[in-house]
Amino acid sequence: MEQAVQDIDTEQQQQRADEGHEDVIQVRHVAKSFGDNQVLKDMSMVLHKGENLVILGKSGTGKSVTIKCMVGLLEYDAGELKVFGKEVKSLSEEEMKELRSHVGFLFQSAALYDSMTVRENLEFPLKRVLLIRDQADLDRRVTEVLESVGLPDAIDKMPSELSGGMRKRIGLARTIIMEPEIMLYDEPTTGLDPITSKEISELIRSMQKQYKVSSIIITHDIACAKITSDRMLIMDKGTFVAEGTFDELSKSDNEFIQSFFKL
Amino acid sequence: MKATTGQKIRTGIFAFTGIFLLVGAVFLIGKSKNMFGDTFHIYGTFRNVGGLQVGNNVRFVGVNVGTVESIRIISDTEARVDLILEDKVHPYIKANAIASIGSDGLMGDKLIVISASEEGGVLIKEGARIATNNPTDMGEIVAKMERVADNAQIITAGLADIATQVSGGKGTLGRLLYNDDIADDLQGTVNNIKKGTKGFSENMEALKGNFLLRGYYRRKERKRKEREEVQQQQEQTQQADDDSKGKKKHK
Amino acid sequence: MADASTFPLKSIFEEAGNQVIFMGRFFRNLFRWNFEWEEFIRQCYMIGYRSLPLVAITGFIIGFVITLQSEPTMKAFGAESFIPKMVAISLIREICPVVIALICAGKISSGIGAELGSMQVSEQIDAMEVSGSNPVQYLVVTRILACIIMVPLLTLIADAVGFAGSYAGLNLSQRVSPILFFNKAFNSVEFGDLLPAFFKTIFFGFAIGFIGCYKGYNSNRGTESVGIAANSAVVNASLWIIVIDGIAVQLTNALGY
Repeated sequence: MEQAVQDIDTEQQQQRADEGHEDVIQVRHVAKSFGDNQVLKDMSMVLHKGENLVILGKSGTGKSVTIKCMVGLLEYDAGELKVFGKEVKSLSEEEMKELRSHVGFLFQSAALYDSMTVRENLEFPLKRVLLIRDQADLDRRVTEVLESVGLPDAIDKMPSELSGGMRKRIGLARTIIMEPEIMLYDEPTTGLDPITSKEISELIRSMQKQYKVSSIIITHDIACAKITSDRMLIMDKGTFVAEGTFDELSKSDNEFIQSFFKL
Repeated sequence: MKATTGQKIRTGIFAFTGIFLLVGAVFLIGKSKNMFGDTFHIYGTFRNVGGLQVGNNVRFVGVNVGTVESIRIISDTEARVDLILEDKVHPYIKANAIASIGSDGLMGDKLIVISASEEGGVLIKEGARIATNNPTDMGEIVAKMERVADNAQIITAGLADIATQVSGGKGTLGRLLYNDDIADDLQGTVNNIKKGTKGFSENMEALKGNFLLRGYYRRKERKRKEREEVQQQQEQTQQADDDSKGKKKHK
Repeated sequence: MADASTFPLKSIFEEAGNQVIFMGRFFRNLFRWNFEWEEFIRQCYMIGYRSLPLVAITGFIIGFVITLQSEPTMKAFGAESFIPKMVAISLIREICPVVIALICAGKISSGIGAELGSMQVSEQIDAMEVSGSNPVQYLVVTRILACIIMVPLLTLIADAVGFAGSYAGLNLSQRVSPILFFNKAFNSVEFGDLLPAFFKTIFFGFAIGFIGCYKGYNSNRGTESVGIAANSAVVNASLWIIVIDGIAVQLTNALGY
């Protein structure tokens, strides 16, 4: 498995080199507080095109807040945050809609629409954002994406009938069906058993390969990080404390960094 | 979630029921207010509408045939009341009909009553003015009462004057009451009458003696005597008077 | 938050401001061209049709009870023939609109509050927003519009069923033919009774839908906030209904109905 990861890494790096290390997300000195509680302080990072960036950190260190700022769900107080070179805060409503159609966001809870079947869940953004009305086209896309997440049989089920892992997969399918350029994963393996976690992690990898997306994966699950990461950032108290590949960080002397790698 | 066909149908039925009720209610109310269907208009002026309101009923021979369409004041003493009536009663309302303001029971609303004044006559025209009969107003009643009181005052003043004159012995009545001469005259008159009756009595006695009437008087005398025999035993003293009085009674 | 607790006035104004902003979002999204017909019809079904049994039973019993309650008093005045008139006017003008609106506040407003609240908690609303679709248009506009249309219709149905209840109540003690009853009832009702009441219920419907959506849409994260959203939706919607009723009665009087 590690060998495979290495292979993909090499491939990715090759691809990245070809495209001249284009940065799809640039974050500079971003700060965000909720009342008196400063969640993000002076945070800076970039996401290169095509890479899988894992942000590792304890709960409550502002990881989710970071990616929510990237899609405009939350508004940051200071600094600049550019997605595809555009400042998120200054976007108009229409521009924001356009941006969001290129950014996929997988929620921690998968956030499937409870009142709709899996098919309707998947068709929802297609009809409303891509404005596809042709039923044959919709069916084709839905079947295709369900196959790529390995759940072709779930098409007419309700979300309440699905297990946690299946919900995550459908959530991923609903996001990837929009063919985004950037994927943001908010704790994709939380609440799942280790085997399902591994499956989801591998799915994230295969998404990267299949759809050529750049991803930020937020997690505190080191096993997931190991499988999915090209590059890792470690976050603590609203800022990044370390950067490197999984291997580099796992060999770090820093006690705080090491605490993540201890099983 | 998509709405199923069943849901759509049931929602549709529900919506139609609601809209049907609304339209039905509007129609029913409109019908009772003569807003739909053929109508014609007439108006009348009243010096007092007595709290009549727009929408009150109009009755003709006791049937509701229309409503009050509008009420507006047209001068300092009069209000114009426009009526809207069903067209089907038009043939029965004549130009000489009279509108008056009535009341529907003790607690009921005011209403307009149209009554035919007499047989015949031409039909009333659309938009024509109808004669009105103003309701008796308390104010008018009070005004009448005042006139009555004024008259009573004059009368009593006259009476007082008369009483004063009477007590002063003036006029016939005063003299009658307060002058002794009349009493004396009356005494004299009574004496004359007494003398006259005495003469008359004598004449009567003479008449009895007349041969033509003698039989009549004799029979009469006999009957009287038979009856009086019992009385005479008790009333010995007044026998002389009884003679003349008893004769008078029998006449 | 600390400020809000020390200055209740500030939090009240903040809440009012948020409601106005949310209302603005509703109206802006109301006139977008891609209206969510499917969801709108489904909401009409959920809000209108599903509330029908509750509303019908309530309407019937209101008509029934008012008739029975007023009968002895009316009898004492010898004014029994006024019962249909009195019941018709009181049902149409005031009782049905307000009682049905309060019941709908309990059923619909809390339902919407809980539904949107749980969607907010489970990040479904965020997911819609992030996918580039418009959650206000999909969730809020459809629900508020469905309420605006369905609550007046429910009230009309309650009026009709209330008449039937009143007729049944009257027939317990005396025989009245249905034609006479409805004739008496409808002869006394005027447009001035029906139309202001009807327009009032449109505003009631708006208040019910709007407060439900606002409370649900803006609920906090955490499962307990679903309950809070549902509860405060009922409380606020009921309050709005009473306030709107108070304003409406003044307005109709001022307009001369």
